[in-house]
Amino acid sequence: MIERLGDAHTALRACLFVASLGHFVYAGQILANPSLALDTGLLPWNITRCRYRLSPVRLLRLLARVDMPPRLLPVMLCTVLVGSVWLMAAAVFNANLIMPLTLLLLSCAYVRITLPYGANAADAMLACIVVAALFAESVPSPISEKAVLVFICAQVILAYSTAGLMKCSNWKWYNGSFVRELFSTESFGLSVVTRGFRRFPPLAPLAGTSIVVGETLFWTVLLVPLPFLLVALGVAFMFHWLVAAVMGLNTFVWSFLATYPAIIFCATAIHGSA
Amino acid sequence: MARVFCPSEDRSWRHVPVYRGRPLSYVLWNPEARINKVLGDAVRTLSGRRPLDAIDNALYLCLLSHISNATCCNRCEAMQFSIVSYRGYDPEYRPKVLFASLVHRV
Repeated sequence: MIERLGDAHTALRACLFVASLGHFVYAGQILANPSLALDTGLLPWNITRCRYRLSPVRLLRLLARVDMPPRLLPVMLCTVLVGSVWLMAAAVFNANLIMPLTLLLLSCAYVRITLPYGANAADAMLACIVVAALFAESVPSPISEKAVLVFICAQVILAYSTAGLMKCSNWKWYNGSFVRELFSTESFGLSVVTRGFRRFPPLAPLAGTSIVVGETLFWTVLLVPLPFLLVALGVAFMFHWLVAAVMGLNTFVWSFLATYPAIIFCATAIHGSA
Repeated sequence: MARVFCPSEDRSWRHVPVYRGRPLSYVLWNPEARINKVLGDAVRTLSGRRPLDAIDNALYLCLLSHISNATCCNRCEAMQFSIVSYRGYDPEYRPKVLFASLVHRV
């Protein structure tokens, strides 16, 4: 598997296959709340456009003048679903990716503008992958695919490292109090986890410290021998599944898994040239 | 929490539920994720601010609109909401008021 992902073309298509799964879940979950942007919903367009009206950026202020009918949002979300299935098929059957990527990019941009609140780092990562892949497909050269894979790899290492560095100066992560506090809320916790932390007190400091160390030192996966790289990525994947189960942040699973072929490609290149 | 100024109801604060219980299937499918993120962002943005400073914030207006739709009836004259932090799985934690809105005419 590692040998196959050492090829830039295969690695990029693997990235896009998983990213399309992420887009499917992203759009489907918003579609499950069809009234979100309506006047009775949590993010009515007539109010959220105030964000653009008050923006210091002129281009964003122009968006406030555009009439985005919120009833069009479910249609655009269906377009994202279609685009993600199309992208998945194109990635598997080695077809041209420009059309599905463009469709996905435009429909996601509409969703992002209509719902300016509630996006997270997973959505940003998916958008990064799609924009970068569209660049690679639009500029057909042997270097463009490699450059895009390096970009995606740098992006994910930056994402993990900044998250780790933000946490590492806060002692509440090391003594476990932040983990205990976070998981005792209904929004980001589960009662079974809170009970587990009470029954086994060293579990919370261990979890907090592991998260900080794992995120801060994630970049070292590029340096370890290739079999260990797969183990390290497996641990990171399991971490995202745990976060999905406990905190409900399930789109992170797909958006970060989508970057792992790029990491494997870069690690293979580093070990190949060494 | 919210309270309404209505001839047919008392003016006591009522809990407006924002989070539903999460089954394990949310690992794969969590339609509440975006709503939770919006509410979390609203709490972070508004906590500790004075209501007059927050009133021009779109998230304040979104919460106001959402809570008034959820709590007000046709006869309501005004309403007010507050953000109270509590930890559902920690019975020893004492709830804290993080933000209280102005009283708005409906």
